[in-house]
Amino acid sequence: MTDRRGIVRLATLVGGSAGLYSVALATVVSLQSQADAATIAGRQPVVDAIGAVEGSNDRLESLLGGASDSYGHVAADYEALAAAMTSLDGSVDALGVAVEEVSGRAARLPGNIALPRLTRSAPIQVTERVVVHATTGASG
Amino acid sequence: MRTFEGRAMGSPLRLSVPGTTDAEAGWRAVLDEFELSEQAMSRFRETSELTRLNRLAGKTESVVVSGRLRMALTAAERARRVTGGRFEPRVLTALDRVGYRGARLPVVDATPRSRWSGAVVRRSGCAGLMIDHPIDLGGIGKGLAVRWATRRLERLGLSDFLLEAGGDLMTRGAAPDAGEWKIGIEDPFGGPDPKAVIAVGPAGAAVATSSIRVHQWRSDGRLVHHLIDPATGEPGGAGLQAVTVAGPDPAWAEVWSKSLFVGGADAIGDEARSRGLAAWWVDDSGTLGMTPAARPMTAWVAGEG
Repeated sequence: MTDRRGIVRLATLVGGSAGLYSVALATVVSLQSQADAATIAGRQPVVDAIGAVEGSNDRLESLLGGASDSYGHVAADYEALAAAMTSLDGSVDALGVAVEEVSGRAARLPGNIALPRLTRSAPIQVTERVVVHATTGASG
Repeated sequence: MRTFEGRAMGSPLRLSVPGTTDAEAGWRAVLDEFELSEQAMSRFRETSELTRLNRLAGKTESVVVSGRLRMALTAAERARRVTGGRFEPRVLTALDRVGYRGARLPVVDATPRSRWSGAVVRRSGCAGLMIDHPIDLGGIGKGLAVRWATRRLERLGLSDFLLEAGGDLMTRGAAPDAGEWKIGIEDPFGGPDPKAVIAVGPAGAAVATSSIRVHQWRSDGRLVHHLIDPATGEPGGAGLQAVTVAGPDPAWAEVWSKSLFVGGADAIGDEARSRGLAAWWVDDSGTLGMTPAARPMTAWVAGEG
């Protein structure tokens, strides 16, 4: 009888302990779950902001790519212009040489040229006054 | 050459047609056009449309006007804008003040000149026109009449003619000797010889002169004339006696001759050259000046033989 009571008490103790443990474990798991959910909710804005920054970075990268292309075109145009300017410089130099040459020749020209004396062989025609069809003037 | 003579708009009117061309119908059209134009645009005629409009200046009553007066007011407004205000149709009060009076107006417009800003016509619509200030169409009206009469002559099939209305002329085609029409520029001091002669080819041209030889009188002890400078409200054209302009259209030739005159002797050369006008002018000393565009049209100049 005593042994059976001891077994029952032991079984009750073990069962009780197991029950208490289960309750405690469930409580701990529940608390842990709530804490995790709060943490996740707290981090969500940061995650969203990171997503927005990533989007902005993509657009910026695209713009930089476009700007890089434009710069490439401008650089090519500038090179072509520089080549044309170099050619123009050469032409201006040649023109300068020509102008100097003309100026030098002009400076060597005489200031006055003696022309032969003219003899008037015919009388100068005196123009008659033009006959007019009408006259414009003050009205009234 | 057949010549028809009459009088309109206070000036002699003459149509010259080379050869024996039957131009009776043309002359009747010219007389009719000038009568209609005078009835529309004259400020001297008591019953003209312009006088009726001027009598209601500043009031809220609209006046229904003919197409001629409406076109004339549009042209005058454009001339005012193109000349930068040198041509101003609202100088009637100033003209009245110096003694060049037309039909009697009930109210004297005492508006300061600075108030002339804005369009000449305040309101224009189907119901008629409203104006704020009395209007004078001198300096464009006769040119418009010559323009409209020229169109009627052309519609009648006349290709060679010379139409004269006072100082305003219009030529078309060939002169009697199949050559150029020769137009003398009157000596504004009254001398018998012209100051110069303009030759106009078959394409034709309009020639207009603004001169103070006829309309000059004494007012308050000083010599005044009818060409008012809108900037001062007083007779303008300091140092000038006459200005002649040739161009394709008689109304614009008249507008420019008046505008250049009003600018005076100091400004006329630069102004006429910058606008590419064929212009001749005689200053107070009797000296003839002309623009580069005028030189090729000049067939003879007094003193040059």
